Amino acid sequence: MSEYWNPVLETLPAERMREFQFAKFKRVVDWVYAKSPLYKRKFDAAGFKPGDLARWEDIARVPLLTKDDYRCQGKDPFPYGDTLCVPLEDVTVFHQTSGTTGTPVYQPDTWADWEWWSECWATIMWAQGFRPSDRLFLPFGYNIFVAYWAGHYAAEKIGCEVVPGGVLGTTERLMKMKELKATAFMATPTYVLGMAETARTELKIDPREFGVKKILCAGEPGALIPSTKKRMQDAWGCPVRDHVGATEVGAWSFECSHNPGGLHVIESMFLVELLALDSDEPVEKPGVPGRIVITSFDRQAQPCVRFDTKDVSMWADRECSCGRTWRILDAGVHGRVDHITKVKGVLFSPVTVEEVVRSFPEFEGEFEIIVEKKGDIDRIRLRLEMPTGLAKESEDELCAKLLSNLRWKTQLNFELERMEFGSLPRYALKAKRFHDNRKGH
Amino acid sequence: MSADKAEKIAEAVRALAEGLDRLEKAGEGIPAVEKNVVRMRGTLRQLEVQFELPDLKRST
Repeated sequence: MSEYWNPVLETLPAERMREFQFAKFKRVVDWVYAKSPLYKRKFDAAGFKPGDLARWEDIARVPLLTKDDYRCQGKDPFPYGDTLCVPLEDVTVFHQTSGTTGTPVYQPDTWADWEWWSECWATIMWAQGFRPSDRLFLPFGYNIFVAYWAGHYAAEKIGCEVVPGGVLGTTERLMKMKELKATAFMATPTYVLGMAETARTELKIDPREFGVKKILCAGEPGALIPSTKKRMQDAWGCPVRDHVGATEVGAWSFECSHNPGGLHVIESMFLVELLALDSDEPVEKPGVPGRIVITSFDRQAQPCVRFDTKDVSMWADRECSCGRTWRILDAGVHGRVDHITKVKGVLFSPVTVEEVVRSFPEFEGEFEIIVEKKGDIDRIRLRLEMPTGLAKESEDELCAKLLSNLRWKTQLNFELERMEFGSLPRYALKAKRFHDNRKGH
Repeated sequence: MSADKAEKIAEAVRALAEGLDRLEKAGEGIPAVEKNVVRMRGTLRQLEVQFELPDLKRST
C-alpha cells in the first residue's frame, strides 16, 4: 500500500502542479461568478471578469474575500443568501464557524462537498500514519461546528474504527479510551493537555499508560509550537501532529509523519498564497511573514475564492524527507494579523507567550494575556496558574525566571498575576487566552 | 506513479461516471436509486477532481 493517499498528486513536480492549480483556479472562478450573486457583485465592482485569467500572475487581480463579505447571509435563499452556488435542495449539511472573530459564518455543503471534506482529511490522516488498524477516539462535542466531524468521516473512509466520544465528560472519555485501548485521538492542543491533567489528577493514571500511539491536533497553533508540542508528547508518550483547516476553507494543510517543522499545503485541492501583512503584495520569498489567502478548488455549495484568513505564516526554503512536493509553511500558523499588535511600540504576538510558558514544565495549568491601558501607557499582564505544592521561595524563583524569559523573547515587561491552579477557564475547543482591552482593539 | 497508471485510473473513473448516468436513467423517479446515485456521485467526484480536471457543471 502506498505511503501517500494519492501518489500522483502528492509527488507532482512543482511546475506541473502550478498548471494543475491554474486550471482548477479558473474553473472555480467561472463557477462562483456564474452561480453566486456575491462573487458576481464583487468581481464586477473590481472590473474583473473570469475571462481575464490568462496567466498565473492574473490570479492577483481576483478580489479578495473577507469575513465581512459573508454579511449578506441570512437572506434569500435562507440562510445562505448570495453566497450559495447550488440550489438549496442540494445542500445536505449545515455547519457554522465558531465565531471567534465575529458573527459566525454559515457554511452549506452538498453530499459531494461532504465527501470532499473527508477526502481532505483522509489525505492528512494517511500522511500522519492513520491506518485501518487504528481505534480512533473522538473526544469532541459533536455540534454545529465542523471541527472533527470531517475527521470522523475521513477515519471511516480510511477504515479506522471510530469511537465517537460526544457528550461524555473528560473523565468518562478517558475511562472509555482506556477501556477500549484507543490507539489514537484528535483534539485541540489545550484539550490534549487538559485530558492529560485530568488523567493524572482525577484518575491518578499517567497518560502514557493509555498506550495512545498518535494524536492529531487542530483548532489552535499549539502543536507546532515546540514547547507545547514537547509537553503534549511527553505527557502522552507519542507523536502529536498538527493540521490546519477552517470551516469556510476546508482542511488545507498538515504536518506529515516525517516532521517537516511546518505544514504541507494540500496543493492539489487548495491554492495558498501569502500576501504582505500591510498590503496585498504577494510574498514568495521564504522566511518573510505574510497573510494566508486560500482558494478551495473543488467545493461546490459555497467555495471560497481568495479568502483572506488573516492568519500569518511564511514559506519554508526546504523539502521534506517524505518525498511530497507540496510546499511547506514554516512553523505552521504563527497567529492572526489582528492578534499581532503593537504593545508599548513593540510588535507582539501572543504565540510567543505560549512558547515561553509551555517551556516551563512546572506550569501545567492555564494562562491568559491581557493588554490594557493605564492612562496613556500600555500595560501587559500575564495571569498564570501556579503549580501546586511548591514552596513560596521556589515559586518566586520560577516566576522571576519566567518573566526574564518573556522579557528576552518579547522585549516587553510583563506584570504577573499569580492564579490558583484550576481557577482559569478550560477549553475543549478553541482557547481564548488573549484579551486586548485597549480602545479600538 | 507513472502517467500511464494515472490515465488508466482516469479512464476507469469516466467509465464509472457513465455507468452512474445509466443507472440514474434506469431508476428515474425511484428514490432508492436516485438518492444512492447522489451519494455515489459524491464519492466519484473525489476521484474526478483528483484524476481529471474538475468538471463543475456535472456537480449537482
